[in-house]
Amino acid sequence: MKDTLKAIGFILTATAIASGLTAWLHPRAPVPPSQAKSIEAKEAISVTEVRAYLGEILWVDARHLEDFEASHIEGSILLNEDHWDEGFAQFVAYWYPEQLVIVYCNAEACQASKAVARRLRQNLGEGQFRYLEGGYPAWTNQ
Amino acid sequence: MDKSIIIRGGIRLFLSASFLLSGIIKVLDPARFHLDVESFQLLSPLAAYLTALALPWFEIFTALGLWIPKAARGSALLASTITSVFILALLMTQHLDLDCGCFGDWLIFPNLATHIAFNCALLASGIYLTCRPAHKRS
Repeated sequence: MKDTLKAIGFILTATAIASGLTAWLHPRAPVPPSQAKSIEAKEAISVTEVRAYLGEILWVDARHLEDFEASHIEGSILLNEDHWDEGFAQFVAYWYPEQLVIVYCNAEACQASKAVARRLRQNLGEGQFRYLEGGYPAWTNQ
Repeated sequence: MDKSIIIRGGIRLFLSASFLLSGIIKVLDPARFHLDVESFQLLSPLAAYLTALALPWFEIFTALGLWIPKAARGSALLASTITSVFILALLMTQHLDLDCGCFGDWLIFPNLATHIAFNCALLASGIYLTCRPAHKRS
């Protein structure tokens, strides 16, 4: 019993120390909640803003293949984290750095579009990678 | 060799390899795992942030602890507890179409049933090793 409690204490302590170091030093550390809102606001784009935008847009559909095949925004490229390599190769063939890239997924709550937009930014540098507020339903409803 | 030693070794290997692989994949990209945790919509932003930081290391240390004789029971108990919590989270969010981010792109479960079945196997392994952490010589 004593050994069990000691082991649990050790694992929890080691976890706490390693987590602190991750937050401090890891290049891919998650963004703390205090900063996340302002970053998200910069990454998000509303349907109204998109409609008013006059430049060329490259749409990225971060949903599953079945959803994409059922319907999607015209000209979209399928790129999700399940099949990243194939989708990314196709994306790079169409993309140029000045283009506005908008990623969408299924709904307001889905995180796939944020994840894909961040991963694109990570892989390609500071292009214009945004995610659509409200996702695909917001686009079809307006 | 005693059959029970082989069985126990196999179970320990399955549990520790699953936890270790899962932890290492997450620790390589905690930001991505953070998004996966958020997508469950069960935790506050702060709790999701702390979970994204802590869970990968928790899995790694638990996996390693399973191989240290004095720490094996405690590690197995922690593994069982966290797996139970995760199964509960999966059941609570079954209406959402989620990728848990457990094994990155390496292993994506085709549906919820296989995902829960896999976690039940982990839970059963954890319980077994909690009850019988080491071979007792007669």
